[in-house]
Amino acid sequence: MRVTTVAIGLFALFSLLILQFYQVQIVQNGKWLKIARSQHELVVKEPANRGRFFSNVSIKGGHPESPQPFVIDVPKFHLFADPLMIPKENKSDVIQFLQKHLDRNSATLRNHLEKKSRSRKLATWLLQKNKIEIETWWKGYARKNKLPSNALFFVQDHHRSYPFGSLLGPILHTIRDDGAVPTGGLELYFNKELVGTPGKRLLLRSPSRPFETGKVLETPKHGRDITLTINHTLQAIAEEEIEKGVHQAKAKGGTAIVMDPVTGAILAFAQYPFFDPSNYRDYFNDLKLIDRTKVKGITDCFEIGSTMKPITVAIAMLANEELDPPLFTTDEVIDCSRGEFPGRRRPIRDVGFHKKLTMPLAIQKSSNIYVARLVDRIVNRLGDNWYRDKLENVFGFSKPTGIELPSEARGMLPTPGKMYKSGHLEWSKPTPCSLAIGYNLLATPLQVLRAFSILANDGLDVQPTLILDKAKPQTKRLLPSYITTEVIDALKAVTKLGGTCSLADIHGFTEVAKSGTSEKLIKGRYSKTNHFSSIVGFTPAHGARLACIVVIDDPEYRYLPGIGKMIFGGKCAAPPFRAIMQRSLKYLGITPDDPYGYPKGDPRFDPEKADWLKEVKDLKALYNKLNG
Amino acid sequence: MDKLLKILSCILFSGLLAYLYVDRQNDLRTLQMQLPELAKELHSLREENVKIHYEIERFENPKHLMELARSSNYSHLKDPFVSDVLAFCEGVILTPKSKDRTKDLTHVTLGASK
Repeated sequence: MRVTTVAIGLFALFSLLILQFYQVQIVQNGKWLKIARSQHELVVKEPANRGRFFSNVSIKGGHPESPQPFVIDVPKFHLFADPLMIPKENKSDVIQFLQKHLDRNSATLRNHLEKKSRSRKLATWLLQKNKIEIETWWKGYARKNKLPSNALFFVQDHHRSYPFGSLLGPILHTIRDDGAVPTGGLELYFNKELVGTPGKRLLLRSPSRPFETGKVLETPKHGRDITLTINHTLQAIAEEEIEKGVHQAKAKGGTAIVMDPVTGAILAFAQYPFFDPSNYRDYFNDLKLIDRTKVKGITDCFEIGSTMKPITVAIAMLANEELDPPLFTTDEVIDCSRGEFPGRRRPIRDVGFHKKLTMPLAIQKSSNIYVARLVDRIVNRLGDNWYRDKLENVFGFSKPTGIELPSEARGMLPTPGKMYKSGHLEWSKPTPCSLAIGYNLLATPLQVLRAFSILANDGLDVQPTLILDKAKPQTKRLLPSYITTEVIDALKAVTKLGGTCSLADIHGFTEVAKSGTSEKLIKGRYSKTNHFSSIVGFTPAHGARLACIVVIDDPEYRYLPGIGKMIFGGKCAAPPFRAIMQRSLKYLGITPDDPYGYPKGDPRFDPEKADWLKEVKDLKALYNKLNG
Repeated sequence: MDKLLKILSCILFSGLLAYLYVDRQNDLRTLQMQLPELAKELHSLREENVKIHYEIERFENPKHLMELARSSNYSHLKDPFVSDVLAFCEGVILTPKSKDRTKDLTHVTLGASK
């Protein structure tokens, strides 16, 4: 009986045990598995790499190059301390060591280590060698003084680094150290594409030696790498020459943009003074330097001056297509001796006095009166709105180009019937004549370059871009081909003797260039001593490969014997323009199309075969005939 | 006696199989334990590679290279014209000696005749 009772009791106990086993292992399986996983495993973020920017290395034909990044994420380390795990008596030793090896202020270190915190960042962006030095010392010190080894620890990070220094600085910009916030430029514009999406990795909790590296639950989606149209060598050439040009002119600053006039690919975008994105804090924290962080080629507008004249002539030739009899002919002799125009208090003047000019002569001599006469005819026969429409919708003035950078200015073109805030009409009687000579409108250097590139591209539209995948020829025709040919042929004389841009003559190549010099508005008045000096052009003259604009901001008002007033675009902007184009053509290996077009005294010079010398002589003869 | 021998031999054989299985598991576990270290080493080599790449790019800064090009040591180097550059297909160089080779060379020569 007793045995039976004991047996039944034991059986019951074992049954309970099995029931409990069933309850825990089978019924509550999910719950206990979850708890066990949370104790033994953890999910960590698998960081995604930020996308990088690459140079356009495909532009140099017959010369394969490996991909060239403008920015590299270099692995570096941040040093953290757990102040609560470091006893008071050991803090001085730690401070002494770190002060010597990190070159940090001891008061700042002491301040961090005395906080009641489990994590204080003592130093950022340390190299591997610094990490090894500190780790080696700390391991020994912690063991000797029986301190926890993880009281000082390192966290790895990636530092956005620029191997080329300040090259392309304002265009690229950077991201802030604290929080990966872009500071501007392409980093800001393409932030969504560059950032990527972090993944997830499952790790086993193990203090010293995990058995596994972890299972990847979600693969990180790395940020997109972007190949720019900018070539690093052409950019370096442009930056070197614009720096030289600004120093030579003793100016405040300068911008140079080089573009493929067919595809709109921006090959170089230089500005001086430079901006080094590695030291972004120095610029943003100083009101005198913050200006350098802007991309002035698209944010700062200026009155373009004489570079408008070929555009005015092209518009007048467009007017011919709608009028019968035509507005003018290119060989028509127009009186330029008097500059009185309706609505103007003072007459328009030319730099040099000319009695009579034809279109090619007017372009060569950069006559203000000639183009004002043309525009006077346009508005009399076709109206103000027709003229404005052509400036906006053919040449793109007052329209942003759509370049892939933030804060692009649209410029300003007055509108008939609209008023300024001051109550004055935007478009009054003298406005068309001012527009004809490049005043009374505001445009960015890139807008001017695009307008000129339409001439270079045989009248087809040009869409500037910084992204290589987007650079392609446009098919929309804005100007008939014959107009661009005639204007280009007239412009070819400008860089030869007798023209205003002889310093822009590119030896060995045909080229087209037009300079402009506009007075700056200082305290509401035009200044005689402060100017924007610019030059825009392309080469070769027909079938252009490169278009370039150089703008010099406020060259010093001075006269150099043998050269003339240095404020003129043809004097201070032309030399950097020539140097940029000459060196770029050489780098790209483009065969000279004017192999005899060298200066006198050069053995390659041949006056019989050099391009456009005969035409320039004929122009000179015509000028002498018309002007005595 | 026979039965005892059979049982003993079965036990021995099972024991041997079990030993081999455990031994294999031990080997696998040893390899598994090495994985984190190897992964760490691979990661650190990759990072080192990035740092070296950065240093190379710094040296190959176009402004620095242009400065070197101006020095007398490198004044003999010139940018060639694109038309002077001959691009060979890999197949031409690797083609074994055969009658076809002449045809290939002619094709290349015509491109270079300018």
